Amino acid sequence: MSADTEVTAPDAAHLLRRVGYGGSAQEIRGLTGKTRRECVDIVLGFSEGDVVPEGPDVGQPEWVLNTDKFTNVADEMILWWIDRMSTLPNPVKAPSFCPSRADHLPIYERLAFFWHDHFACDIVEVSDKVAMWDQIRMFRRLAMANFDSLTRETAVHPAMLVMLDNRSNKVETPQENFSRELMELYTCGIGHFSESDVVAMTRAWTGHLTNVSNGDDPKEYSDFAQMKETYIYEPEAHDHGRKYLFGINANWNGIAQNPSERDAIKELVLGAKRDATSLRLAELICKYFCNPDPSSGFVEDVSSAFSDSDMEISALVRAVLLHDEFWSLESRWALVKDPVDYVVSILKHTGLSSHEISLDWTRLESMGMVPFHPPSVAGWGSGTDWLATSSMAARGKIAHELHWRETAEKDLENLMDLGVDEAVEQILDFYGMQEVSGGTRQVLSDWFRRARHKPWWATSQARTLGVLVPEFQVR
Amino acid sequence: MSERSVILESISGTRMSMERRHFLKGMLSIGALEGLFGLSGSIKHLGAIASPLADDKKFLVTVALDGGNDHLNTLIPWNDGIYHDKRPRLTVPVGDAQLVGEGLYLHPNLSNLKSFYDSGNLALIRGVGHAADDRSHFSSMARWMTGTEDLTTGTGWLGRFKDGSDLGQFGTVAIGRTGIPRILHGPKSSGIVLPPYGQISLFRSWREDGWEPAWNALRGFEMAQAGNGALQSEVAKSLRLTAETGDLVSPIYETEVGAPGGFVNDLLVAADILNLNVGTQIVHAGLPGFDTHDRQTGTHEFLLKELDIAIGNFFANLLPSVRENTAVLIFSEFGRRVSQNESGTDHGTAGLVMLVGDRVRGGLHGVQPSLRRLDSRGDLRHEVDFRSIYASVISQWLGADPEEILGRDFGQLLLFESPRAFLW
Repeated sequence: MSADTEVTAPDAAHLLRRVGYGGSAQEIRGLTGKTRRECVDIVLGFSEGDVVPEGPDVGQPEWVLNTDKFTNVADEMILWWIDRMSTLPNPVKAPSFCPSRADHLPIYERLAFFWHDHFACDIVEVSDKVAMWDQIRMFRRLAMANFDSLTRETAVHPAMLVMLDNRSNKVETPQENFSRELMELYTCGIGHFSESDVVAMTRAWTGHLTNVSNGDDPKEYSDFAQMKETYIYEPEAHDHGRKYLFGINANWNGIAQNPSERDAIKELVLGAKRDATSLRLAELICKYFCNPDPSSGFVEDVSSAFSDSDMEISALVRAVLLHDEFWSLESRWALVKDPVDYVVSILKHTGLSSHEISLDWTRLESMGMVPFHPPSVAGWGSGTDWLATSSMAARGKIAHELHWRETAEKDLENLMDLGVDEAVEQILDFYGMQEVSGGTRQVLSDWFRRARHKPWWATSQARTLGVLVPEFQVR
Repeated sequence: MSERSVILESISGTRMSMERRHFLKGMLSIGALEGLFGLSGSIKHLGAIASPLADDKKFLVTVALDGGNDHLNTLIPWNDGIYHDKRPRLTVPVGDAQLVGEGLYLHPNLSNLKSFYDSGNLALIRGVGHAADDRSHFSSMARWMTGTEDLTTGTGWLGRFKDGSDLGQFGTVAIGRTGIPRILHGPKSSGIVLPPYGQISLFRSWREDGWEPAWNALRGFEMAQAGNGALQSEVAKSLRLTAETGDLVSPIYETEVGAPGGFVNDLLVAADILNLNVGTQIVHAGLPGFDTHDRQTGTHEFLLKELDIAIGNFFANLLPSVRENTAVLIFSEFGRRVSQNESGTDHGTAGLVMLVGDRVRGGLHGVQPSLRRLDSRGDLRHEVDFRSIYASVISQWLGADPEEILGRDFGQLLLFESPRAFLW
């Protein structure tokens, strides 16, 4: 069984880059020599057959949310999340309101971000920072739960009800936005539903509103962070007639309220659309964790495991991580770091915080990715989207920010005293780079020979150039 | 056409003039850049990669209105009672100033476009769509970008045009922050992405103090085949291209003071890159926000105003020799439903395409979609296949063979005065 294959140091480093944000030398040593199965159990935090724990609940920190200006709060929320990603799983630097050491597994942040991208809601559209915070908190908690549970909670979360307008979906004025994207984007995907299914699904979701759309005045949210709107189900706004959905004539409701009703989410995830939903989610997860062009065999294997488990996300993730294609050479360094990955890598290796590199909404926007603010309901792009000139130039600016920063524990101050090869090694080691190509070493050597003529600038350039080498852009 | 100075009303309502942009008229050649910035070593190399276009090249700007622009509230059939019956709370009040003919009115916020129409320079192509009706943003926009109905290719129709042309690496440009839009993807090449603002030249102000080695290192990774993984060559190429592009286009970003922001900025950058004459023939920009399921009225009128101001400023800031050879094609992935929901409209069918430029054959094109003869869902039937518009642009404006790019003959509309007529 390939799951019993022993893991080498490069294998371990690859796994840690994919389920988290990279591993320290110590963490890599800790996995080397163990079997793939043992390593996967460690990075997920539980073994196959165990009860799947909920993800960590990070709470609702008033110090982040209690700020007057909307833009500042959004910035703080983003920077908090990025700092969390970069300080896991080091409990010494962890935020103080996450006391449990067992909760410091970066897989939950990777998955929370995946679900945020999948069920994309935008803080600007939703216009409620507390709702957005709460939604990500929910994604983290249910990151490896059952996909039916996750979809169900997401559908009626106020952020989603506002984002895709289901709060306006009433029997007298049906509104198709959420119903269409529920099928097209979140579950079975295009080609597995018809326009008449959109009409029926829309009718099924009537009445799932917010208190505001049902007539309450919007809440002026207090200093202590309550969501502006809350979910309510209003039977009088629901279309109780029978509907033909997926060829089945029944008393459909988005979420069944009593035994006489048929549940639409259950049908999408576990019923008539189970295979399509399973295949689609499998492909998305394979692309997210493994490579941009997964083989059809890989996707089908993962999809089968997902479906056989009755749509447990933990089974989906485990199937990817134990598959031969995940460990294959073709999958190494096959993913381009997205802008958040890029920044988190920098922070991890320098020990700096996001504030210390002057990170903010504008700088993230210039790279093309602002957490909490996806560009469309389809979420963010991936891969070569981050290599376009505009986005790459913005990375250069972030890199440049490092040029005068000294880090706490180590630095490159004595670089000019070294020989060429030693200097290049020190730069690569400074940023924890592994499996560096001869081409990069050659370019850095050439650079060093020229840069040492102006030593005053050389160390600054080294700090910047280190995060602009090709190897640093991929993982 | 005589020069006109356009006074901008920015999105936030302040008024400012555009003279600040006119300094770029002096920045026409690589030699000028070299003299200005004194970086002769590096700029000489750039002179080899950026080559101005021949004088008879026609410039094309494509604008994608992302989300599905409402045909019926952009070109308004005010005199048709059914319009009022189907969307009682969404109708747009219009007057004589907006009339374009056949009882149709342009939205009041499209005043610049109306001026173009009155001068005979705006073509309104009505009822545009395709037979596949899945009303999905993603597959519909993919159709418009690839110029296919069956989505058998991931390349864009303008990417395929570029690959068959003699355009260099700056031939096609997108304005944005991330990935090259599919419309510009070709089997062999792609394009450059420029941000709407924010200087992208790397280490420029430091280079005289010794950062030249770092900048050259960025350019050296590709030649050294540096990097790892399946994307090695793309990553290395991206680093080189970024380092070089940043310097080449830096004049565009020199003046940030008073930048109006939003889509207006995007099209000002588009004007600047065409004026800069570094080999760009095609520019693409997107204006998101048209998916007006909810609270359509305020959103839609704001977006149309933003579009209108952007188009007006774009043309006002082109050099005369560029302006007379520029056309702007404005499209969306679908229109909206005829009937409204509570405060907006859901995904619909046929949409409106606009083509604007000094050499455009203005007027009403296509057939006005009937509000009486609707499809099975009660929505507009399309009359014009979107690919016939592309064929018209490819043949009559860009001077290429539309069948080679689109796969077969889709017919054409006469959209330009004195068309180049590749095969006419």
